[in-house]
This record gives sequence, C-alpha cells and structure tokens, in this order.
Amino acid sequence: MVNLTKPVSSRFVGAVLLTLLAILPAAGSALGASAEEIYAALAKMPKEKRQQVIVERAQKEGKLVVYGSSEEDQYKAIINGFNKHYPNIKVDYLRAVSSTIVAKAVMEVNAGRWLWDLSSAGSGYHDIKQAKAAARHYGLVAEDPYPKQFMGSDWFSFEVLPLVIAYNKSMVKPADVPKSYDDLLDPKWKGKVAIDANPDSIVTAMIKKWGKEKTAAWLDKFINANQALLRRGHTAQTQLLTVGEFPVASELYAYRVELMMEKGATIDWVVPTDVAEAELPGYVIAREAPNPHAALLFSQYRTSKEGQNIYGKFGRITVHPESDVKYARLREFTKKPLLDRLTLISVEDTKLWEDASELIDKYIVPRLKAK
Amino acid sequence: MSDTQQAIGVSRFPAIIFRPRWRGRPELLVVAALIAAVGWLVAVPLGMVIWGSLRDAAPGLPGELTFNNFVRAYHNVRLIQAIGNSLIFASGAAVISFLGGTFLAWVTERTDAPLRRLIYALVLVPVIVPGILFASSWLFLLNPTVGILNKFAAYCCGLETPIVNGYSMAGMIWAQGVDNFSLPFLLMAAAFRSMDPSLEEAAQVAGANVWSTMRTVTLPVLLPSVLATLLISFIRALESFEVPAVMGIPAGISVFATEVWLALSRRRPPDFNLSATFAMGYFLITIIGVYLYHRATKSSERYVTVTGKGYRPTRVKTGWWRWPITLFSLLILSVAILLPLLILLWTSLLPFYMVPSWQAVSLISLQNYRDVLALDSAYDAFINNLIVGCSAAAIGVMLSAAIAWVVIRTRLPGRRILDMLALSPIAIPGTVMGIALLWLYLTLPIPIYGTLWILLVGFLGKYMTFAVRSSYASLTQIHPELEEASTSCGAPWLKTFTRVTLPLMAPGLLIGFLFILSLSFRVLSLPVMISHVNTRMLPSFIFDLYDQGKYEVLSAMGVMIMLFLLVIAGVSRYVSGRFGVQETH
Repeated sequence: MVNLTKPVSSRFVGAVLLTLLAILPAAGSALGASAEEIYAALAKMPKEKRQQVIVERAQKEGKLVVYGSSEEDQYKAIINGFNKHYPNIKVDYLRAVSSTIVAKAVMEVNAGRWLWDLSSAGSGYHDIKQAKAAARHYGLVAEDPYPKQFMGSDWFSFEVLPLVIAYNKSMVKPADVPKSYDDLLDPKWKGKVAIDANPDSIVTAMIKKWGKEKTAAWLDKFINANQALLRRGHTAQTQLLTVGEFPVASELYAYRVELMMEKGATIDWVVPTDVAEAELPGYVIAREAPNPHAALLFSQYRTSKEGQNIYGKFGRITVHPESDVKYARLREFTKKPLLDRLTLISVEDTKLWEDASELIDKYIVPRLKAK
Repeated sequence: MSDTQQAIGVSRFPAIIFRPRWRGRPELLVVAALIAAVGWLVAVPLGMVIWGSLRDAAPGLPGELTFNNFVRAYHNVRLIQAIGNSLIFASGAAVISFLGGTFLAWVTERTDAPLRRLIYALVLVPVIVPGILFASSWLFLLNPTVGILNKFAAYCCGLETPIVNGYSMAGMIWAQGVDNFSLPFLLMAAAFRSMDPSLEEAAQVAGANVWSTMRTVTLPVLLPSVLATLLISFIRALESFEVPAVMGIPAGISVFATEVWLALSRRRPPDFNLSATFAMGYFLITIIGVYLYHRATKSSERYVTVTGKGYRPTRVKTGWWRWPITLFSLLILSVAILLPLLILLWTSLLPFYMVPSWQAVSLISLQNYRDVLALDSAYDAFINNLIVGCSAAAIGVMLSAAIAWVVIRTRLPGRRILDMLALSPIAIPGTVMGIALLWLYLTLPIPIYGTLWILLVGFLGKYMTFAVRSSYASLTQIHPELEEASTSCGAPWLKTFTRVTLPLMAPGLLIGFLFILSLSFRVLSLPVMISHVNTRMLPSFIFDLYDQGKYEVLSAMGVMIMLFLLVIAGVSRYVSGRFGVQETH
C-alpha cells in the first residue's frame, strides 16, 4: 500500500506546490486594497459621509457570504430584516458547528481563496489570527451604547451565552437547590449531577476565575469523589434532566433551559454564585473580504437595536442595551450587577482552552475506563 | 462445504476464463479508465491522508515530515484498552446485525412465509433514519432509571431494580446491532435472490429439513456474501460514534471512536494531522479484515451458484412453519425496529420527550410536523441530496460492476491493488476525507469547489466501496460459463458485459445503488466539510436540529423521511421485480 501511494502523494504534492505558485501571486495582485485598509480609510472620514460611502459601495457589491454557527431560522430572520433596508444586497449563509466552520474558513484562506466575508471565530480565533484572516474594523461595526466588552480590535460579539446550573423541580426541593459549583461538592449530590464529558467551556471559565490549581482541586472532588455523571452533549443532558434521569445538570445553556420551560418542562436554573460563566461567540470580517462594505454594513445591522431585537425574539441573549430579550430573566445577564459578576470567555481567551484541555485529560478522561 | 457441494452435484469449473492480452482488446481500455477513475477518486485523497499523518502542519501551511503524530495518537495504554473494547463492540454488533439481517433476508427471499412484503418494508426503515435518532430512542428505552422498559417492568411487576441497563457493553452492542439490520439484510437478500435453488431442493430431496438446509447448504454456499457482510458491518460499527457517545460514555466504556473524539474535539479547528493518523488505525484494521476475507474466499469458483443449467429461483416450502416463521420475524422486527420507531413517533407528537402518561397524551399535537414543513431551505437541501445521491449511486454501481469484473474475472496485473483501493475509503473517517477533498479542490485548478460536483466526487470516492462489495458478492455467484456462452456466440466483450453480466448482477447492483443513496441522506461528516452556501445537503439540517435541541422536530422529520423511504422501497421492489431475476412460485 505504501509503495503504491508514495509516488502518487509526491506527485500530488508537486502539483499542489506548482499550482500554489501559479495561483497566489495572481490572486494577490487581483485583490487590490484589503478590507482592513478600506476600514482604516473609512475610519478617517466624517461619520455621515462615511456611512453614505459604506451604503453606496455595499449596494454596488450587492452580496456577501457569511459563515456561522447560529441557527438557520434565526439567521434567516435577520437577513430578512436587513433586506428590508437593503433589498439589493444578497446574503448567503453557510451554517455548521463552530469548529467546522472555522476549519473551512481558515483552510480557504491558507489556500489563498477568500470566499467568505464574515465568519464565526468561536474558539478558533487563534488559528484565524495565525492565518492573518481577520480584518481590524477600527470600531466601525458598532458605536456607543454597544458595550465595549463585546468588541475587540478585529472581532465582535452579538450575544452572550451563559452556562447555568439546571435542576428538575420535581426532584429537588427549593431549599436544596445548589447555588454554586462549590455546593455541588456536597456529598448529598454524589452520583446525581451530570456534566458533559468534554466541558471545556466551564473549565476554561473556572481557570480564568479561580486559577488552574483551584480548578484542578474542584474537578478532582466533583468528578472523582462526588462521582459526577458523565454525559455526551448538552442537548441529551437537557432531555435527560427533563425526564428525571438525574436531578441536576451542572452546565447547561440558560436559553435552552428557558425554551424547555416555556414548553412546559418542570425544570429551572440558577446562576452559580462562584463562577458565572458566559461565552461571547465572536465574529470576524475577512482581511481580504471580497465584499468588505457589505460585510461591514451587515455587521452594523446585526449589532443595531433592530437587528438585535430580531435575534432576541428567538430567546437569544443580545447585548445591545436597548434591545429586547424574549425571556426577562435572561435580560439580567447583560445588566449590572449580574453583568459585572460574569466570567466572560471571549475569543481572545483561547489560550486558556489549552489549560482546560489538560485538566480534562487529567480528571475526566480517566473516568472513561476500559471495562 | 465442498463435500456438500459435491454431494449435491456442483462440479468444479476452471474459474478464470478471461485472460486479456495487452493489445487489441477493448476491455483493456475500460480497465485503464477504471484504474484512472478509482485512482483519482480514492488514491489521491488517501494519499493526502497518509501524507497528512506524516506532517506536522495543517494542509497549506509549511511543515516537516515527522512520526510525532503517531506518538501523539497512540502513545497511551488507554487507547489499547479502547481498541480492545472496540473489537468486542464491533464484533458483537456485526454478529447481531448479521444474524438478524440474514434471517429476515432469508425469510423474504427464500421462503414462502406470509407477510413478506411487510417484513421487507419494515426492515428497510432504519436505512434512512438519522443514526442519532435511533441511538437516542434506545437511550430512552434502555435507560436504567427512566427507560420505558424498566418503568414498564416496575409498573407491571413491581420490580425495583432495572431489568435492562443500556449503559453497558451489552446495551451498546444491542443498540448498534439492531440499528444496522438493514445493510446485512440488503446484501444477503441480493445473494439469496441470485442463488440457485436446486442446491436447496437437492438437500430437501435428500431428507434435510428447513433448518439443516439453511445451515448446511444455503449459508455455506453464500460464504463470500456472508464474509463481506460481516466485514462491512464490523467496520461500520468500529467507525460508529453515536451509540458509544450516548450509551458508552455514561457507562464509562471508551471505544476507539470515543478516544478519537476526545483527542480531537478539544482542538479547534480540527487537527487534520492527528485525524489522519487516527484514520491510519482504521485503515490498518480494514486491511487486515480484507486480507482475511480474501484468504477465506480464495477459490471463488466454490461459491458459484448461478450456472447456465436452468437457473430459476424458487422458494423453500416451509410447510406448517410458515406462520411461526412470519411471527418470529415480526417479533424480531418489533423488538429491534418497531420499539425505537414508536419512541420516534411518540416524541414527534410532543413538545419535548416525556415518559408516556395521561399528562403527556394531553399535550399531543402536530406542531412539530408543521415546523418541519416551515423549514423551506430544507427543500433545496433535499433536492441537492437527491441529485448528488442518485448520481453518486448510479455512477458508483456502474464503476463497481466493472471493478468487480476486473477483480474477479481477470488476471490483470494490479487487480488486487484496484481491489484494495476500492475498499480503502471505508477506513477513512468522513471528516478526514472531507478535509482532504476540501484542500485538494481548493488548490488544484479544477473549479468544482462550491458546486455539487465536489459532493458527487466525495460521495463516489467514500461510499462506492459498499456497491463494490455487493457487486463482488453477486458476481462471485454467477458462473463464467454464461459469459463464455455469449462470447462463443460471437458477442463482443462489451455486449457480453452489458447484456449478460450486468443483468445477472442486477440484484446486487440495486442494493449498492440504494445503499449509497441512503447514505447520502444519513452521513454528515463528509458533506459538512465540502458543501457550500448553495450546495447544502439534508444531513446538515438534521444535525442542526439536533444541535439546537429540537429533538422532537427532528423526530417528526425522521417520521416523514421514513414515509418517503417506504415509497422508495415500494418502487425498488417493483423495479427489481421487473429487471432482476424473475421469481417463480
């Protein structure tokens, strides 16, 4: 087998290199100014004139391609809202889970193909940076009163995704409801609390809030001494909590629990008092976006009060201070005092994921023993 | 086996009759084209995967050759234990699915048991229903604390301890095994349909009853099909992650697929080099499987059952066993397929999954079905799916018929390489294949990225292997004397191939077609990497719904897909009845 494929793969590699040599210079010269250069120039213009230029050029571009991990129907509603203002700009949306969509976006860029304008960065921001794929936007995406903590130099977030402790109301008395991750170490919860087999998000937040050592100690007690129940996937956990396989799930998405409660499930949730984790799913505009003005205009719409209101109708926790959120309790996540208490995990925290991965390898993976 | 054959009058024929020379033979052009096509579809992505396992950087980035990926992937002892678990899990599941599928195929194809059409339709249902739905259904049935079976036992018999525990190796094997009845069923049904019944008749005339005929004649004669079926079922179980994820992780049982997931899921974006290195593990196991298969079926003439001597399939007369056999088949189907189907149907009518109760009954509505119909972009995905699935299936069976002919009927040099190439994609996980294809068509000046063509190329390369297996099984059972007769009468090679060989292989080819088509509706990992804004496929929507926690809407979609499948099954029965081998009763 090896003898057969070796010549094929070496020929193939040669072909790839030759093609790259042919494609890359041509692609580079054809592109002209990058999105980042365009935004730098726009940032120097007076505000009104600038917005007029953005709209005019965006309409001339007439389209943009978005790679994302938001749900299809939700994105469609936002695109419809956008098209009411700009009917001539076609928005194509490609949806996949965050890691897949980032892999695709980065591979295309590494191959010298700029096929997307706006992409979810998720926890692949580090790779996007490495591929020099993100454009700095000079604050053009959103202005006051959009909260500063949801915006980086080359990324921005439309929402906040908090993880909460959820419980089955028919199995846990009000007085017994665990209020914190520390409470879950109580022996009365032994073998009764579920956690994802790969809880990277909450472990990252714990490391950010507590440091690595304390997080390791907590994981050791929770996973080993208190025999936490390992399950795969937040969706399955929400279902199993609802039917009562276990009374408590340690880290479910708050809006998902609210959606189930609206349908009549007898479950509820609390914000942990010690580590109130909230993820900020980040988006980036491509450095060499084929439609830089349309990408900017669409991003502005997504961060506007109107765009955020559309998203909020689906139960998502939008961050524009004047936007509406469907579930009143979730609104609290974007207001003081809860907002100040949140351990926000943004795309820039991706380095912490490596520490989290190490702790998961040490404390959770060995629980999956060979039997 | 050979004693039995000799006893019932199967003579040994020289196996190989086509010995093409290198010049002046039109079939050689076909062979050359075939090697080029399979080489491009399979060898190039496979080469990329091997290349990726030996590099320290993602495609497109500068890197160096290294063995470090193998050290990273296979360094810990846990993995060896997990591989041991995988072998137990995959073998158990393969045996269950083989026994169940083969028995049901025998009942529908070779006996006169009543209600055969119903059995045929029911057993095909899981082919197209997303794997994650069936895995979740088993989770709700076998759950040790809230599973319906345990609740029922507690309610009826007052039992306090659970009677079944899905969170165990046995639970995993059961769920995986019964979810995969359909593939062995299809492969073995094709084999039974192409089988010369005179062998069975001879056994019965000699005094053997139904069971000993099946045990001593039917199954041994079908050895190539049996082994191919076991091999494919085994490898599919080895690759499967749904059941190990929902039932193995809670039980603390790790299999190879779980370890691969654990190693890769925390790396974002996916680590192509590590994925490729894990793929090498699957590849090695597959090569060993194929080697064993070839050793066991070395003399293909031993398995010839369709000869030129008055071939006419008839059914075994089961006498007073007719109804017991049907009832037993329905019992198997009820336990294996109807139970999870009922869970699907039940969930599709509720706002969220609930254990059956009067309160739950009061919440029943058709809202989830309305939600499915409102997913209008799913229609485009469905059409894309049909176009890609049907094209890949049609081209795949044509290529596989030709490959089977080259491998089984000729002594051309390189035919074993062709054989190995045709089977190797089964060992490459869809995501890895997807990344390889993505990189390939992003960098080569072949403008198919972002079109349906890349999906067609991807599906052909990855899934043609199933059609190849069923074609092998079919062709091995057809005696070369039929083709020889045609050639002796002056028919050129191509005419012999299209007028004699292909029609005789039709049942096997139809199975290959249906299976590739159904996979295009089921698998997510490959299309998600290579589809683009206008070329999305239905599995993307299915996964989205699951990812969003809309399990009940997904269940409604599953029920609707099932109804669609029943129509397809009806049509395929009609088509195979018309163009396949005619039955006599």
